[in-house]
Amino acid sequence: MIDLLATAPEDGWAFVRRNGKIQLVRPPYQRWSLVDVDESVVERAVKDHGFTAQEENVSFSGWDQLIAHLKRQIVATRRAQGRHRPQTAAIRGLIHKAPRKVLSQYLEKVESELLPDYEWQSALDLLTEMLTVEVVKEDEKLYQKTVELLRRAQGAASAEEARKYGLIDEEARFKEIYPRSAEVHGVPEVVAQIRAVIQQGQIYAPAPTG
Amino acid sequence: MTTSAEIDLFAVAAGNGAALEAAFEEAKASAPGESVLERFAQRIQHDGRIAVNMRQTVLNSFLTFGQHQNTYEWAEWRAEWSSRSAVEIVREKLGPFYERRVTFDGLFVHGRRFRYGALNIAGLGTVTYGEYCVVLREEVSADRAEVAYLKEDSLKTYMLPDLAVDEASLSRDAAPHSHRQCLAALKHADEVEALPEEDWPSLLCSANRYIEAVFTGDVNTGDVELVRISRQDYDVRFLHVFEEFRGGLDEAERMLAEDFAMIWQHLDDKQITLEVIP
Repeated sequence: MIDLLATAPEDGWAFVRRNGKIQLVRPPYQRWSLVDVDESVVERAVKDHGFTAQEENVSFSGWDQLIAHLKRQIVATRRAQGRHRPQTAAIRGLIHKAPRKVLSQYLEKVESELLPDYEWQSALDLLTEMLTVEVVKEDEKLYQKTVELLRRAQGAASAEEARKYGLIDEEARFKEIYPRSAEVHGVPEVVAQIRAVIQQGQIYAPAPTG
Repeated sequence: MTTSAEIDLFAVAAGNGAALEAAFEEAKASAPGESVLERFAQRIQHDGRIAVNMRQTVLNSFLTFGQHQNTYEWAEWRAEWSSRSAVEIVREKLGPFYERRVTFDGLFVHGRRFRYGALNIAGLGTVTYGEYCVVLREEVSADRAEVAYLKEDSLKTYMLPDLAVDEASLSRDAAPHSHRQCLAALKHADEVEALPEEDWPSLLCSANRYIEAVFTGDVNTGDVELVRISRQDYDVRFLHVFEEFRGGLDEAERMLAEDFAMIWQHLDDKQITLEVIP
């Protein structure tokens, strides 16, 4: 069991006791951020650093439960202050403060994660924003890599869209499969109808006979 | 008004300067590597600042409202828009530590006005209290009458079980600003010899071990020299920016990321450097 000793709920920090040890638990809740402390640290934290002592016994069966609780407190304290929805623009705007090394890592992650995982829109959003970052604009290598990945993402996104509708390089196949429709209605017209059906989710009606 | 029971910590520290200096000279003379101890002291004299570690919301609040608050000031501020008194708010906040804290503060002249920090020459400070190490300008400590440095954490070391203060130890271990380097050198005389200079900052100030700085007077954002953050915390914050583009953050992470964006804006506006420490 993990016993709660003191918390700073607005930051999701907590001092806990587990297996006789007192530990500080804090975001990002990774192994390196878990710190062993002695009781005097907890006392000082409560007395001078804004932590609230836990008066009632609150325990958790595991780290996941504790972390979920602390995250709920982060959200709850902000909602109580009237802050309900974090501003996406504010968070994304930090990209303009990122140093070169971090921006380079972003490009690596786009290439190794976003593109292979078909996360086209995320890649496009990020890369488009990166083109406006001063550090990128002033660094030829970074800029060219951003442009290259943007082209790849755009190409991949377009190809994916075309695959979804099954249309690119498929005109000949379409005529082969639906010769009558192609002859009567024309390929472009039928393609437009197919797009509409896919978007609306309705089954494609057979071509009229006779 | 000072009662006969109250200890004037700053007067005690001020009166200890000569004794600390004499002890330091003796330590230097008997140390195998006299020059190392001298260099350590010089480093502290040159670079020693008061640093206050803050969590993200505490720093954000400090930068937003422009003033540092100790526990009592915070409680009085909260009481202005609460149905509870400041005393009730402090009592709830401190829980089982309330009596000890209030008693301790009552033992000192101006005890309720104390602010606490740590003597710092570089590094991340006392990270168990906050991931941001806010380093105050030297003028904050050099130009104030009420500044004292204690060899150890005051609550842990100088408070006796019967809630009295160990005045003898306190008197021995308190230093004025002018002699903080003597106190630090005496504290670490046995260790500093064997350590490379790049390890001196963490020897002096770390999560569990530090020289406590006690001071009074306002602290506002103009008193800040710089703010330090660890490379790991810094990298996580920018990783979260990437994840935001991906829609990969949960609501709590987004809220913390937004707070970091606000802090960065404040630091930019106030031209305060954010120093990233490996």
